[in-house]
Amino acid sequence: MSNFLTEKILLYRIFTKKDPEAYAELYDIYVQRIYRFVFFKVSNHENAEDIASEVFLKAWQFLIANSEEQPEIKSFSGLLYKIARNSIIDFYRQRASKSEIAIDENIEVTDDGKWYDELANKIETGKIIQAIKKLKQEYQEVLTLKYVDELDISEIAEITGKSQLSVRVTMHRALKKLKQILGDK
Amino acid sequence: MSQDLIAQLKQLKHGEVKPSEAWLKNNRAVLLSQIKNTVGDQNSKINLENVWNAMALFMPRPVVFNVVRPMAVLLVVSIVATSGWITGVDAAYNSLPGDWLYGAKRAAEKTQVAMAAIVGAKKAETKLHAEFAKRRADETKQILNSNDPGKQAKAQETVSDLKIEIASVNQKLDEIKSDSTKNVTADVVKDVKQDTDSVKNTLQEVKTSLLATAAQNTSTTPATDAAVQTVQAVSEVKDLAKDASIKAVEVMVTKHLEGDVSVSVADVKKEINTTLQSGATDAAQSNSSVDKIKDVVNAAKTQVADLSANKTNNASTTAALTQKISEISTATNVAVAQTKTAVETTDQAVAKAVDSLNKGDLNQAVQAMKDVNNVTKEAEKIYDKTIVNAAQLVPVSPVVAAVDSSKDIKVIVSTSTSSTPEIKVILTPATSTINNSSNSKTEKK
Repeated sequence: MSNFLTEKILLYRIFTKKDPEAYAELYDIYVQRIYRFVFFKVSNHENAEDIASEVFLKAWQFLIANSEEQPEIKSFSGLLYKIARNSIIDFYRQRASKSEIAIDENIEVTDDGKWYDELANKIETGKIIQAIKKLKQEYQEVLTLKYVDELDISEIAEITGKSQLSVRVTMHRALKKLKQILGDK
Repeated sequence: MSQDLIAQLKQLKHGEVKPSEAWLKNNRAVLLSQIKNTVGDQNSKINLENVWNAMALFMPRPVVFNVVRPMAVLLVVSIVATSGWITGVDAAYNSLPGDWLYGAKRAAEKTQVAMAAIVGAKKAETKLHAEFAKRRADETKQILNSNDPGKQAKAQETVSDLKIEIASVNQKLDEIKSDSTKNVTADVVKDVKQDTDSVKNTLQEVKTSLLATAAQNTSTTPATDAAVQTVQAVSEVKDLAKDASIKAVEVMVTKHLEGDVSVSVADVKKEINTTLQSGATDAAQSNSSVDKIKDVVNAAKTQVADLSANKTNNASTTAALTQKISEISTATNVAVAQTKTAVETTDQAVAKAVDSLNKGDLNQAVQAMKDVNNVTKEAEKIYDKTIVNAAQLVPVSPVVAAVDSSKDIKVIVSTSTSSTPEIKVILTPATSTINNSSNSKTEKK
């Protein structure tokens, strides 16, 4: 609830004062989620970074363009995910000629995090990411939103534009499919 | 397997799919610079619309814009309207004629009366008129105590307003009397009576102070004339107030006999008694005042007679003066006789009324009370006439105005400063030698 209120207040500052600092705070809250969301759909970190920064810029432009009428934004994350989806679609349109299913095998070890200490774990993670990327878009979305970003079903329903029941069903199927892929390996 | 898978999925966010710290920081800076370029410098202006948007943070927007906003606007408007009204009228409440808020005060009063009339609250209306009459009387008193040069004119204005109010009270009392629906109870009438009594007393004070002022300002004839006019106007309204007071008692008795129990028999009797006593006092006062005038006039007459006997110069003017003063003296003597009769009549009527009261015959008592009122009114008229008459020649006002009758009265007629004789009245307290002559000097025209 407090997060919800913080978000509302930040949005209010953006609408009324066009306050870049407020937007920076929103960026801090959401950038990692959006990055992950994008990352699962595009091939590599570079593309994910490009798209994620594009998403935030587009979101800002949307807010400023509509600051006069101050549209009611039920959830800012919903807006970001929608923009992200569209951006990803644009990204694939532009690169329609390329086949982009294969993942960059060298998963970047971005920093010396503790997580990479265990090699076995790293391999396991790589397997799952690969498996997720083999799922269809719909399944990817619900799985990452639910388990990686830990969103509520209601939020996922809003982002994906589906009913909550439909999200549950999709999630169940996606999990089953993921298991199947991992089992096949 | 399923749980393991979920756990592994959850771990993803800590691992491979995390964006690099460097990118996060860098991108943040780039984004900030980009968006800052799009907006430029924003002057935050205070916009009422933002208040509603701020409110919309905490409750649904439709509620804010369709319910809260109209209500808030209505609330603000009503607060501004009423608080403006309250503070304005409160400030106006103590204003006097000539003050710029006095108009607001009168407008507020008129609105109150109009509202009461529209609602048909006869009770409230009558009370309001009595209340306003009281205010007018107080205003008159305050104006006359002030140093305003145009106070006589203003006082006459308030007195004429007061007359209208008292007339309204009288009219309302008549209506209440003939109205048998028992909408108006006797206790209301009792309140009205107390108000009219208060008006009467205030006017008595006003009259006394006016007489004193008239005495001080005798050198300026127009002021004296204005003061005399005011005295007459005040007397007239005072009579009306007395009538209203009597009528109020009458209505109380009528209501009581009709079975209204809001005022007890004892209270009714008490009111009648008070009115009777004040009537008797008034009659006695008129009589004693006229008596004082007589003393002064007679003293002056003696002095003038001496003067005409001793001096030969200005014989014609002295002779005229002698003649005039003897006329006044005669008139005053008649007035004394009349007021004395009035006092006797009053005493008889009061005795009769008290007797009726003791027997429990309220109607009879009221009748006697009316008689007393008429007689005292007559006596007061005689007194007013006498004082105006005598004041032409002799400065009698201070004598009458002096509450303390223990002062010695000394009348001096001098011819030293002018060709026409001057009559001075000197009041000296019996115990000291303070000379009031400067305040009591007059010139014979």
